[in-house]
Amino acid sequence: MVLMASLAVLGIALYLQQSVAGSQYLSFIIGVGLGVALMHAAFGFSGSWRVFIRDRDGRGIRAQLLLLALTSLLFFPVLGQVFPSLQAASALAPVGTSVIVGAFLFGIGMQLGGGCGSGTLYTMGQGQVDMLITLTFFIVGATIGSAHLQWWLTLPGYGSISLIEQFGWWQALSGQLLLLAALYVLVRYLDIRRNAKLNPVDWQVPPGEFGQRLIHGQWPLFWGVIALALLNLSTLVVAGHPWSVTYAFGLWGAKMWAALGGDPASWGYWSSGYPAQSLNSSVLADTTSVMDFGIMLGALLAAALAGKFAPAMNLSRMRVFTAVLGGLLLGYGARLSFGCNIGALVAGISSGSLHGWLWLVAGFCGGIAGVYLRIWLRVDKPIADKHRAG
Amino acid sequence: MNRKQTRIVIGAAISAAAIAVVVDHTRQRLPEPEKQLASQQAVIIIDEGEELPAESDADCGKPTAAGRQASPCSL
Repeated sequence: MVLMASLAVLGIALYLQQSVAGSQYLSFIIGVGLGVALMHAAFGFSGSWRVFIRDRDGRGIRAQLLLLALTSLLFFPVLGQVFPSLQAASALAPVGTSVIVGAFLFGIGMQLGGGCGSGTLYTMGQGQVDMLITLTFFIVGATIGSAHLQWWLTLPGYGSISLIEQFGWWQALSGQLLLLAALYVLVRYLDIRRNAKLNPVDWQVPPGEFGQRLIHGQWPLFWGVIALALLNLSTLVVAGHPWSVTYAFGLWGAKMWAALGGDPASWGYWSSGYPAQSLNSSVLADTTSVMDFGIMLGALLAAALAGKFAPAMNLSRMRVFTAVLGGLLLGYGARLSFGCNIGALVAGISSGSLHGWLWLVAGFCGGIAGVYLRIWLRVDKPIADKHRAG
Repeated sequence: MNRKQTRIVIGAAISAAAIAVVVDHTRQRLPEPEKQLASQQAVIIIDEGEELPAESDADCGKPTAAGRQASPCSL
């Protein structure tokens, strides 16, 4: 399996280098790195949100806050044009009703579908077949969302707000780091108040195990933070924009709809600009698509290296139902809110876009609703009384 | 579903996805390198002091800020 995955990575990278214009092969390799990092560090969003909401175990959320802080530290100087030779685009998007509604739906979908934008891809690479259903309906939801987006954008909103343009890059960075630090302290406080022992965001490995852990995993969580931040910066430099995931899902869905005889080009979203260009080009010319392929293959490679590639399917009727509904909400929500936990949350906040912060609040509220929906659907047990009291 | 059936499902999904990519790639023309560069970074030239139209934020079809902002629709 390791050999097959390695050959697939090598073959696709070489083909992209030879046949596809631009730096797509580099984007693909970065995607592979992201898949390895996500898999080896088991870096997820939906599960860590759920254990925090249920048990106040804030380890995963603290790691995400560290990721946001580190990525902001790397992005703000570049986007603030401290290095004029580096021309990169920020993940700016409008602050408005569509972001609030979309992120809330996405938060619910994360809990029902069992994964987020990045999580769906890397668990697919691990061989979890139920995530294939989630991904399929993620694509369907994103396609429907792209058909409806123009209407959602007629609802009240404020347009894009860049903190870097409003305050200057270092002032905005300072304020953002302070806010992230305050959130870190709050999450840590809530964790300690509920749990006797604080799960650390670990970074050390036993002596002599560094090489073994690096290749075969399991990585300490902080390694994942560093790897994801550096690979996100690499994406910004190579592709010219931050890491995003879900745009590709809508594109794949629109292409499939067109192949079935539909006319997505008549929808406002796909009628002009970059979406129209990508709809009429090879899927291999779209950076997000190429990176998504890389993430899946990277996760497959990492799972094989770790001996964790274990095709598994637990397809109860309820699991199929939650995967379908969750996938639809994930896709529709991501399209309305201009991205997922990666393209809107990580890339948005790290780019100094206010919509990223709005996404965080609305998405987390959706996550709380999703956790209680799982309990109502009897997917999870009710939260114990001792936890509610905390 | 047993392990063998699961492997068949995964193999079929990967094969179908690979075929779809190949079909799409062979049907669609590849962009020129110059166009590739401009893809997700919609660039417009704005006179100094001129403000961007507010509605450009919410329109996927129009370019956004001057060279430093991706189209929000490509996120």
